[in-house]
Formats: sequence, C-alpha cells, structure tokens
Amino acid sequence: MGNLPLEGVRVADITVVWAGPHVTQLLAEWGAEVIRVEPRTRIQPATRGAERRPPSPDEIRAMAAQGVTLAGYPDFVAAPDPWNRGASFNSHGRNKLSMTADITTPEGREAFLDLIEHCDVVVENNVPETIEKAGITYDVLSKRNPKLIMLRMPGFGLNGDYKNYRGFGLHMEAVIGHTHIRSYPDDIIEAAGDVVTSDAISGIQGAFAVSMALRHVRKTGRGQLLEQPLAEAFLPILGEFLLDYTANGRNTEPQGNRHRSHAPHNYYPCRGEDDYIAIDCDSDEAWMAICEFLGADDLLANEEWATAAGRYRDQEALDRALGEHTRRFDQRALFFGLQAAGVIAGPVQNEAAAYACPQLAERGFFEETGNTSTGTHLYPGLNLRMANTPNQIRTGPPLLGEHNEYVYREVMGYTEEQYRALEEIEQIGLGYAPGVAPYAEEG
Amino acid sequence: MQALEGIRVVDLTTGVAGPHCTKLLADFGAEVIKVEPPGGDPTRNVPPFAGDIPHPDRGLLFLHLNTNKRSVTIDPETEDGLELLLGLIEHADVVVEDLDPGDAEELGVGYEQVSANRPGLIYCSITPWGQDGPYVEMGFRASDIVLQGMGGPVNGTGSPQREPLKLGGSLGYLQAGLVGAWSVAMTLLRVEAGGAGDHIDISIYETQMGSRDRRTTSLTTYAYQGTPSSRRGGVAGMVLGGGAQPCLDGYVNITAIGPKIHQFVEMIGLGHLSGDERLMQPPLTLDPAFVEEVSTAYLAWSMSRTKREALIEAQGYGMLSGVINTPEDLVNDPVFRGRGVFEEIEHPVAGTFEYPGRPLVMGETPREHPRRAPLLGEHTAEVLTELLGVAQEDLGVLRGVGAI
Repeated sequence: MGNLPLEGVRVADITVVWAGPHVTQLLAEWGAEVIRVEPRTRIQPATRGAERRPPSPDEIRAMAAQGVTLAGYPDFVAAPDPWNRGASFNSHGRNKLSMTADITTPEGREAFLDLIEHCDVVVENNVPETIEKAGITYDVLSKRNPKLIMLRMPGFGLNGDYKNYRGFGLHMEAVIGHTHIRSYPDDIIEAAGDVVTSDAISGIQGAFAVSMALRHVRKTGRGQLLEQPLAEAFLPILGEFLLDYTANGRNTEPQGNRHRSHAPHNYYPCRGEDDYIAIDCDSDEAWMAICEFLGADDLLANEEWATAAGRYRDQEALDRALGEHTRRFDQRALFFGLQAAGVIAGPVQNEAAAYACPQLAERGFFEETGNTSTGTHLYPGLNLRMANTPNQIRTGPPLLGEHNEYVYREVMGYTEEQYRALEEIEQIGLGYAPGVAPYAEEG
Repeated sequence: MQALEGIRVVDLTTGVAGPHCTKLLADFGAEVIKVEPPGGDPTRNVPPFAGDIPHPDRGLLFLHLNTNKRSVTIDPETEDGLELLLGLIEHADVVVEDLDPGDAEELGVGYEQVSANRPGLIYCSITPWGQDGPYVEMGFRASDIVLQGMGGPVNGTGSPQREPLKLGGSLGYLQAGLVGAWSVAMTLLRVEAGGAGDHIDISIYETQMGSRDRRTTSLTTYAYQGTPSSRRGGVAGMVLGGGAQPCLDGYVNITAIGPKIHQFVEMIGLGHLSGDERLMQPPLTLDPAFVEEVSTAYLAWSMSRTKREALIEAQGYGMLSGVINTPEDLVNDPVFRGRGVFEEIEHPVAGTFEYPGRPLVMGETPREHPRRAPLLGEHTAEVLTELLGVAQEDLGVLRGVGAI
C-alpha cells in the first residue's frame, strides 16, 4: 500500500472564492499539508461567505425554498460564526489548516514571507493588482525560497488589457463562449442561467500543473511561476467549436443538450414533478428499444425517424413526441427499464437522489466529517480512487484561525513573544477581529 | 525540460475522456503511444470535419484531442497483436485505459496481469461508474449527457420552465480526463521517489459528483439543511441584477456582490438608492416592486450601450463582469490573440489552422509547439522497431496476420 502521493508537500493557500480553493482541496486530499493564510481584519468577498449581513434562519429558509444552495448553513443557522458554517467554504475546506495573517498589512506580509520559506507551493487566484500591491509577486517570494512553486490563477492573465478585469468563473465562461454554446438552441440566452464550470476545470488543471512542477523541482532544485488564467485554462474545453471556426469559419450556434450526431439526445420529462431522464440514442437498434419500452408505436411508425440522419434532422419534433411518452413513466422505472433494454439513460438527480444512490453508497463516496461549529455531516468525498492507496477525508473544514499555534510556533518557529505581538495587533486570533464582522454580535 | 519529459504512456483509450487525459500528458512532454484498434479511434469519424468533408483525418474533435501523440494500430485480439501490446506496456511508465471493467483482464492487459513484475507501473482506468459497484455489475451504459445529469449540477442548470441544461460540449468527459492527467502526474511523484505505482480508478460519475461547479456545495447544503438545488434559484438568484443582461449588440453579465451593490445602483442611474439597507438583503427575500424598480433601470442602462461599453463601465467600478462571446468573438479577440493562446498546426490531410493551445504558462518547463494528431497507424513501424526491435521483414508478416 502506498503513502498518499503528495505527502510531505506543504502548500500556502491564499486563494479566494472558488477555483483556487479547489486546487488546494485536491492537493490536500492526496496528502499535501495545505495552510490557508486568511485575514481576520477584513472580509474577503465570497470566500468564507456572509459578506453581507448574515441571513436569518427565515431568510435562509426562503432562499432554500427557491432552490438556492450555494449559501447553506447547518439547520438554517448562520450565527454566531457564519464564516465557519457556510457550505461554500466547508465543501472545499476539509483537510486544510487555517492560520490568520493579512497579506495586505506589513506584519501579515512578513509572516506570510516567513511561512513561504517552509513551503513547497503557494497558490493564489486574486486579481493581479492585489498581489502586486501586497508585494508578494514571484520575484519577491523566490528570493526567500528558490524552490518555491507559485501558481497564479488570474482571470485573464498577468498581462494584456484584461489583466485586472474582475470576474467569477461565470464571467470568464461568458467570454470564452461557454454561455453561448451551452444555451438552449430555441430560447433566449437568459434562460440558460449561470454556471461556474471553469472553477471546477481550472481547479483540477491547477492541481495537475502543481504536480508537474513538483516533479521539476525534485529533478532540478528549481521552483517556478505557473500562470494559469481562469479563462485560458477553460478555453481548450471548447476545442471542437473553436476549431470549427478556425478551420471552417463556422460560428457555432447554441447547442443546448444536442449531440453532434445522436438523436434523441436530451433530458425528457417524467411523471414526477421536475423529474427528468437523460436519453442518449446511439444507434437505430437503441431507437427501436426505446420505442418498444415506451410502447410508442406512433414513433416507430415514423419512417423518417428510423435512421440516425432522419432523427437528427428532425430533433425538435422528435424531442417533443418522445417527451409525451416519457412523461407517463416514473423516473426510476425509466432508468432501470431503459438500461435493461440496453439503452443509454439515466435520471437527472438532485442532491437527495445523489445521497440515496446505491452506486455511490457502495463505493463509499460520501464521508462523514465536520468541525466544532457545524457538528458532523455526510460530505461529498474524493473524485478519484487508487486501488492500493486507501484514502479518506482526514479532518473537517477548519475554523478561521484554528491552526495558528501549530503553524506559527511549530512550522515557522515563532517565539512566544512574536506570537503574542501578532495577537495584540489582531493578526493572530480565532475568528474575525472585533468590529470586522459587526453582525457577529447579533447572532 | 518539458514537465513530463522522459515519461512513456501507452494509451488504450478512444472517445473523449481517455484521449483528453493522454493529450494533456503528451502536451506537457510525455511520449504517448496511442494504440488504435484496426478501424481507428471512432472519434476520427465524429463531426465537425475540416472542410466539412467526412474523413478519419479531418475530425476536428479528434484532431484537438490527439495532438503530440504517435499512433500505432494493433489488434490485441490476435495472438501476435497481444504480444506486441504487452511488449509496449513493458516499456511504459503509464497505461491509460477506458475499457468496461473486466474487459482488459479478458484481453490479457488487466492491471494485475501487467503490473506483476512492475510495482512502479501507473495504470489509470477511466470508466463511467468506476471499477465496481451495482451499476457496473448490472452492465449499465452511460455517456456524457447521462453522467452530467446524474452526477453534475444539471438539475439546477437552465430554465425552471423547461428541461434542464447540460454543460457545453463533452464537458463531463473532458473533466474526467483532466482528473486522470492530474492523478497520473501526482502518482509519478511517488514512483520517481522510489514508491509504488497504483491502479487509479476514475469514475466519471464521481468526477461530476465531486465537481466544484456548484455540485459539492449544493450537496453540502443538502447535508446541512435537507434542501435540494433547483433551476429556480441558480447563481443569479443570489445577486440583484445577476445573470445575462441584453445590450444593444449582445449580452453582458454583471455580478455586484456584497457592498458593490451600492455602486451598481449608482452606475445604472439609481444613485438615490445607494446606501439603502434593502440592497444588502438576499435578493429573493426582497419586495418584488423594489426588485422591479432596479431591473427596469438596469435594462434601460444596458440597452443604451454595446456589450463592450457596458463591460468597460462595470469594470471601471471594479465590478465582476464579462461579455457573452461567440467562438468568432473569442478567436478574434486581440487580447487572447496577443497572449498567444491559439497555435497554428499543419496537417497533411486536414490542412493548416489554429488550435486552442496551452491551458497555462509554465515558467521553467514551457510546452513545445504541438505536433499534429497522427494519421491512423502512422507510427506503427517506427514504434515497433524502436521499442521492440521488430525487424522490417516481420512487420509485413504481422500485417499479413492482421496483428497490426
């Protein structure tokens, strides 16, 4: 049995929002010691949540009733410490440690530079000017530690006119063309809603990049700067559409759920409220099997639809006609029935269905963890397995400042006096400094 | 050096997920030998095609996913073919495969079979459900749209008035391939430090379920509150004025989070509302009349500007924002062009055009300009001679018996 492959790697994590924290989540899951360096004297937007005043339980319930799930709290309660209780942070925080230091203050910056000397990797995804103003660009950090790998994940790059443009994944994806490509072919673009897939993609890409750079350090003793703009990391994902333009001059229209050659290929309504089933018809035999299972003689009788090309040409009408049949069936009955008939099909699952899925249960996907504020819950687990390297979530999401003692005293070797001095100026402490999150007292 | 220089990969995959994994390894310097079945990777025949001419060397998805690889055609179902394949694997550091669980064993190239004397071998399997579990036992089939719908955030994507939307292209497959490349790269660290290889088991379903595209957060919220996501909420529902917004010539998307909402109302001409307590409330809990007042003013503002003007103004306020581009807009954008994200590649059949290139810039281990995707079997003789010492005259015999 192997050790975790990233054991012995230490990472300083000054990431915010979504994509950056995903990189460090993945590194931590496979053994790296990830230390989040977080300010307690100011609130970082959309990072530990609740930068507006904290929502009341009634407000959280109202949002939940509308299907908003990016701001959940245990039992609908955000207070008294929403920064330790929000789902958006806690879904990536496991296995990480938290120390407090504000890199935008002289004392916090100095502490960060001291920490860097004990780290192999630093990951950040701030607007470039933030890192420049803080004076912690790669040329500065590499003087303190020439073996350091610095992964920077700006929105659009460290140069160019868009350098300091601010955006989330959803904005980068709009620029890249994802919003356009994935919109409904027959509806307004607003109907597509927002997604943040580029955060997921660039998070994994960042973990890949850091792993490769670690190999280079071990071979040469030299660290390096990795520049991975969110937009550019996501761009190759739309490869064939971009190539259709560069090779053929074709500006691909919105594709929605369409496949490049299969039809039917969509999500179809089922009997239950908001229940849908994915059906992907990859052959004429599959088409017959679908029709037979549904008892859809009218569909079988349409000769136009007997061939893949005929179905593909007429997919709007085909989708409507097929939907009239699927909506008479229960979603699970369709799933198991169509699969038994050899058809590629599966239910659109909400979170309740995911937690009840026998496949995930058997493979142990969900794992129990938590912290002293949230208590324990079942969290989504690892996105990959290694047969000979058993692995699981080791520790829950850290409280803000939970590991100050360990990091400052043991990792960085600070004396009692140095530690106390930083406590006195509110750099070190548990939770936000007084007055920073005034709503804390309301709870 | 390139980041993965010196690493040899035998690639038994077809389609999208596996080839994306090995493309990433190849693009960063690994030597990838793509072992194709005699008919070739079926993705060679997937549209769109260069020049709209269907041809196995013109498929744009194939050309994109197979840069920097060498192609060898081997039929492992023949005795000689299997021997050649096992020989190649003996010379490899990494094997990537995407066969249905059990099929590699049946063929004779399962993990246990090829790693017996190779404790350092990294063997990466990428399959819809992973190597075990009830859906594997029942032989369930899957594809990208199914795995996204089951595992990904699809139930919360799209309009509440109609069917949900998947994510663009073959996103689920591509994401799983990326997880594969990462898992191989980090396992290499352990192997090169003298440790063990492994059998990496990637379930595309689980790469979606563990995806940071909202899914892990909405799962955590469900664990906390018992409330599922839906298409009524979405991301835009969390922010006043969020979501795609029409302009004179297209769309812009502006997200005024936190205190920025006060500047947002100022920007759209509702300065008198700046500082209003209500702006700090979750939008879904606001009085609809108030929301209407803001959205009416926003529409008047956006419809008197081009998307670029709207963007520049919003960025001037430091607001998170982006324009909604088509592929044409993006490829012609001078900033992206200036940063060199597109790379021109020549191909003897498909022609010469630009490809989307690097996902990142590595300071010390730069990527080299990519080599084009291989023709079917283009490197069979070269690879078999070079790695296995197969003699020129034997190649003819192997061809004759259908092994290559």
